[in-house]
Amino acid sequence: MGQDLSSKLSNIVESLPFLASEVGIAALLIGVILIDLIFAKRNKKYLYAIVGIGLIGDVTYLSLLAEESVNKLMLFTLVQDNWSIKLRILSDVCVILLSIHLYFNSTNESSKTKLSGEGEWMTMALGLLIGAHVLTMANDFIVAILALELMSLPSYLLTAYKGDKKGVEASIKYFLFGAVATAITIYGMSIMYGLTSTIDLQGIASYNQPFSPLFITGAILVMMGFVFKLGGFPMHIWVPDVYQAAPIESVAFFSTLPKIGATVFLYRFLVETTLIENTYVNYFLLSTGVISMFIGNLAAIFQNGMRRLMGYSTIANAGLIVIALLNKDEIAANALFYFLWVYVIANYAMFYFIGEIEKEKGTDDLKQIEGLGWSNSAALWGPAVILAVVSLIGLPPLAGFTAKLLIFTSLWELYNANSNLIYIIVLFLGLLNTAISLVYYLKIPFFLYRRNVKGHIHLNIALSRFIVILGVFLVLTFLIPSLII
Amino acid sequence: MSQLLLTLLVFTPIFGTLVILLLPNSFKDLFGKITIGINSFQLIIASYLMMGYEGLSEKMNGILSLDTFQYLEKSEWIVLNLGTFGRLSADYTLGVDGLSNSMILLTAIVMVIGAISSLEIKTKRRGFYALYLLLSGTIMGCFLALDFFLFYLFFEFMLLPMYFLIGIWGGKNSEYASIKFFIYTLVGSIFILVIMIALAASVIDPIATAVQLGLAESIQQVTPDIIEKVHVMLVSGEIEQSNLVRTFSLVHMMDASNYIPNAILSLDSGAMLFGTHVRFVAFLMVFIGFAIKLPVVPLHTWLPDAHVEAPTSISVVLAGILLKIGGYGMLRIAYSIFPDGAHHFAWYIALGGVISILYGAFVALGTHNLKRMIAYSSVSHMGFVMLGIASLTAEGISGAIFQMFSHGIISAALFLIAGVLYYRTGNLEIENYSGLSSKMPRYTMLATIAFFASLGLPGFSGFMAELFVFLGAFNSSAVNNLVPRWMTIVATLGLVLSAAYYLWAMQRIFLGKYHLKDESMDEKLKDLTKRELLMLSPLAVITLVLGIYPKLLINLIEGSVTVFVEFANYVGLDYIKAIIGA
Repeated sequence: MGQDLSSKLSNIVESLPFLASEVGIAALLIGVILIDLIFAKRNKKYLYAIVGIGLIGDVTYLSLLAEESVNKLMLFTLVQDNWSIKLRILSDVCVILLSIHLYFNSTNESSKTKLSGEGEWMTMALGLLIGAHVLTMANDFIVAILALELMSLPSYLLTAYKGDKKGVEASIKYFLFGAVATAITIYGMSIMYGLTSTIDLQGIASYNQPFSPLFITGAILVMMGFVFKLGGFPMHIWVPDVYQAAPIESVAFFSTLPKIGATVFLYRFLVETTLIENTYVNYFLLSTGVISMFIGNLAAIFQNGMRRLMGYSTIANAGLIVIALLNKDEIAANALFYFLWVYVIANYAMFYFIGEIEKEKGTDDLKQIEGLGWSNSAALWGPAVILAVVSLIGLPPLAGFTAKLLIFTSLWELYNANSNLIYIIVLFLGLLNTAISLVYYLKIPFFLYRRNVKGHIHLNIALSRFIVILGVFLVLTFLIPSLII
Repeated sequence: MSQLLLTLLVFTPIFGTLVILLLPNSFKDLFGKITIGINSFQLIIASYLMMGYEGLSEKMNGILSLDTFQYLEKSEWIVLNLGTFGRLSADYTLGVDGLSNSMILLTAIVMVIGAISSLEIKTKRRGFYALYLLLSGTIMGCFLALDFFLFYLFFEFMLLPMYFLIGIWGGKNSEYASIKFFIYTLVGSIFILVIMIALAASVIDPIATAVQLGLAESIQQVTPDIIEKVHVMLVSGEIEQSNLVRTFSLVHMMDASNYIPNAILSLDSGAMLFGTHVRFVAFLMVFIGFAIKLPVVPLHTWLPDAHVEAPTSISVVLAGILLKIGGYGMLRIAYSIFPDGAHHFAWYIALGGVISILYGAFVALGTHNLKRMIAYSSVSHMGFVMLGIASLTAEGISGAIFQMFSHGIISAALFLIAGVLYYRTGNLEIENYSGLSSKMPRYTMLATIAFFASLGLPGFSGFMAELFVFLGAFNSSAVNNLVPRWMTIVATLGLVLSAAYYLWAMQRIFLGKYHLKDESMDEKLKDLTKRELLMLSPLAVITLVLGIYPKLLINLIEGSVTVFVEFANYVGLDYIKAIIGA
């Protein structure tokens, strides 16, 4: 508090070099807008390439950053540590995958789901990316809520991007739910601020313990907005509807990028404020996690459309993420990080596939993919989809297994540390959910290969080669986990 | 070269999968031959390994320490640095001992037979053979792995090819049967997974920990003294959490001194779960996991469905090998790591065995479908394995392993016999056929051999196996007092019942006046082709040879079984004392 203006200023100036990645992305964003304005009315597919290459540059820059000790930036509103660097790389990867998705989907001019406006797409995606970047570093309520909103607003627009009735409806739903979630979060923050008169996480931690019930309530309300982004119970209602109606590219995007930022902030929030050691917060996380898993997995069994199926799968996975948050040790951080990587890659592979099927068949109905696996153009699609699905289930030899293994090991460690039987029960319920999820995940490969192929179908072979790379990535990271961790 | 034989055994078929997936469509008539070729190659390696296996050498009996396994291959695989949790390491360890050698041979034999039988598959051959090869590789891996993580990898990985093979190439109801199979087994493996995680959190690798602590420069330099020192340091709590190297090694898990003091599964933890010591619960969970696979009544209901719907060659593999993984897993994992639990629950396990024997046989007596009857007879025969294992006597364990091998051969033959009929008429209802002996004499002869072998007629391997099991179980009350005598006596009723259903089926199908319910089948019923003879005759020969000269197999397993029985009896009792003391 006693800092004078000059030392504050010098801290801000010293912080700037650490934000080179975000500044770079902002520059890219402005560049995209300019190019879009100057070269109007022309096919601007190269924009995807520009963004992709720019972000690959950013990934390279971030991975070269020395893993230094924790840096407190911008008057300690931001933190740069190992964890935030690694997850910013993953966020970039999400946008790179998105631009590849858009690039491939716009090659086919006759495609029914084609989106116009490369510039707008990339602008919003990059805006969202900056939000995610900031959220991975946020150490302060104001910054966190700004970053959260920076991620939300483009999402609402992207949902309605096609401009059709369903999309607009879903967008409004998403917006309303999102607004309520944000409001709840801000309400919680105001409670906590009222009690502690500080907004940075370390300051909150020094608030006199044991925490009062009002304080705990505030904390749980704060978490709601981020649980909303994850798609976990009780903030999960938007997920299937939005997944059903939004353009497939944005669904793939929503299902991955916002989760990264939200997970990191939740983890930081819980650990830095030492709230994770509070019993009630623990119970909140436990129940949210377990209920999300059950809702997601049980509802997914009855879906016929692949989009809704993946929507419920998202809810179930959100539950798993929330459960992984229970442990504050490094093993949990590693588990979460690994899980997010695997989840992003597998989810993208699935949505590439669903998009491709929709382009050909006009619907995401599971029945439409019967026997497709045997057609020549699907020779690579089938195996790649199997790899992604098996990874989502969490069976060896795919990275999804290691991810779940790490999460469950961290739960076991919790039990080891404080002998509370509830962790073992949760562990069991989590594993039971793996068995439940088998029923619906396996439908996809099973339908693919069940019958003989009817008629001709032309899936994009170039894209399928790319998906196979994603699949191989999932196998490789199982065999050599140190590639990620 | 001989260093990599086991790896070759596992990965040649997996490589073959890739080859088949990448070959152009014009090669599609060759897929079957490639598969047979690769599986024969596996058989050659496996036979070569068994020729060179030193069954009688006292120092190479495996079970207790890695140095005593034969053909051992070990290299570091996954090492995860988990910060305060220490390091987690899974090694790539393959090895052979008396528990696994017969199973490897069995796998190699049955997979070749199954591949030949697969030539009947006419649709989507690329997928079928690719999955089939994948399956052969993973099964081999399962029997060879000496690291829990590696074992679990193969154990789970096996389910996927199996699911597709039953689901896509199976009968009308195959979707239901395959998902049922998958869910049952997956639930079982979830039980195993929980305990695997718990064990990895409780057990350290003393060798790698010594290196981590700087007591030795490399793994090769670690001497028994240093290991001793690590154990002492571990007990006194001198080693920091972050220096512990947690391991999945099955062999390390068998040694109580590798357990971190007060870790949940260590002997001194004293932690209770549902009113019993955690180690007992852990044993039970692993055991149930494998019991589903074996299968044991009442966890068996997936088996008949899967068999009825699966194509012939997959039934052969399922009955011939996959069930044995259940029995093998019990010995290698449940009994080896938790010998205390084995003692504690011996009575119930033996009872489960007896119930399986009788229940399986009773239901088999009442079935109308030939394949379903054979499936239930499998349940009944696997009950003998349970009974033998529960007795924890040298005869009992030898008998269980012998029974697994013998049943693998015989059930493969039985399902091929059923497949012969199914291939011709598409119908397996017993009542549809009568007096086939006049129409198909060679078929009748081989079917008779298989039926008699399965019902335990002296002179066939099944008899020897069941005899050993009965001897072991009967002796048990004198040796370690685990299995009461009355159970063995009741179990012998199973022999009578199996004679009843086999002979009755025999009489209905083959004897009497030639008659078919559906006359149009008449022209389809031809006697065995050369291919079918080629599959069935070696199986018949093997079961006869082993029935007459069982020493061929006993020589392979005897040494390790002795070590195993001694370990399980003495150490098991020590552990129980330690647990009760804690």
